[in-house]
Amino acid sequence: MCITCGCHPNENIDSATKTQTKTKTISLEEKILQKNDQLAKKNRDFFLNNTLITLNLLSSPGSGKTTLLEKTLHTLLATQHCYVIEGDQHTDQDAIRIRATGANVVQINTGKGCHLDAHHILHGIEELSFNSEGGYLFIENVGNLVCPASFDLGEEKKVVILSVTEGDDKPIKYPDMFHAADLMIINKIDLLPYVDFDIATCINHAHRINPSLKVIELSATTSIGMEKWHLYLQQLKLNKFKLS
Amino acid sequence: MHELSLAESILESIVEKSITLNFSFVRDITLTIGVLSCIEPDSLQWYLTEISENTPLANTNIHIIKTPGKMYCNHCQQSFDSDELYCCCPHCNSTDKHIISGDEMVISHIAIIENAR
Repeated sequence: MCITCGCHPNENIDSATKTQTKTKTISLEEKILQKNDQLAKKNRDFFLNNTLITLNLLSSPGSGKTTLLEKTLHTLLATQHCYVIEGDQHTDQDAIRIRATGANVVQINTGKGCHLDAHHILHGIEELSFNSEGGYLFIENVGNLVCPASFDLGEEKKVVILSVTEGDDKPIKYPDMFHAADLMIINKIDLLPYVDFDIATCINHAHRINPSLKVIELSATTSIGMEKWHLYLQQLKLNKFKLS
Repeated sequence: MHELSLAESILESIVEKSITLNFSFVRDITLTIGVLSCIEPDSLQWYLTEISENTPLANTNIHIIKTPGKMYCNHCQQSFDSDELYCCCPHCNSTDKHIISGDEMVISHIAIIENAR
């Protein structure tokens, strides 16, 4: 049994031998994700108390999320403590890549699960050794543009990454994700001359779903636009903790 | 697929309550799901049925109330009905809006059969 949150396998109740009496209606008005949200709050409090800015990175598989994270860490680790929680169904392939940058990383395998939830993050945090000076925690969620949108992990911001090879209509095809996100990174812009992708159309679609969605265009591979992403990260820390 | 996780959350909550409130059967469960939420109600109902064998939710009647979407236009400051996130304000055509209601995912109430004391 998990000593942190008491999680354990559901106990089946044998109903065949129970004596039944009267019926009673109980009003609950309880959010379905109440437990997840309670754990997310616990995570959020931990991040605040440990001066951590936490980003939940979300995308389809193949958007360049891991490469973006690698390139981000190569720069950020020069001045900041960085931590990563990697989420995939199977293997630690991404954790191996990220560990090579020098970041403190833990891999979570969800098995048949298609998203990380707050409980995963709670346990992930336990396996990382955090410096008292704080820093950045990046959560690379399972590659999936649908399910992870629903789950609060306790993060500061949800960042959805969309590559130009995926089509500029992705925001309207997957509205829940773009509605939930705080920032959209359009990646692989170095490939724009070779693909049928209109940036203005994509941003217009996204803003019809979520008018307050911020947008950064970049290429993790060639580093075009990466300075805007680093500035965004700096601003987050400054605004939250008044620290650079 | 996340409907399975949500069904598991519902089941976990009901199992906990069956212990604290002393019941073994839920005759009816009513869920309120907004059309602007991330849930497909039929999928949720299916998963909940599938995972409930030998639990207080076995053979429970599952009722889902689907609530409509209501939004507020930040530009002309009027509310309007919409069941789609990809929409404009019908009054002024602005896309600058936010959800007032219709994104709920709630266990509203249950009808239980109490155990004999």
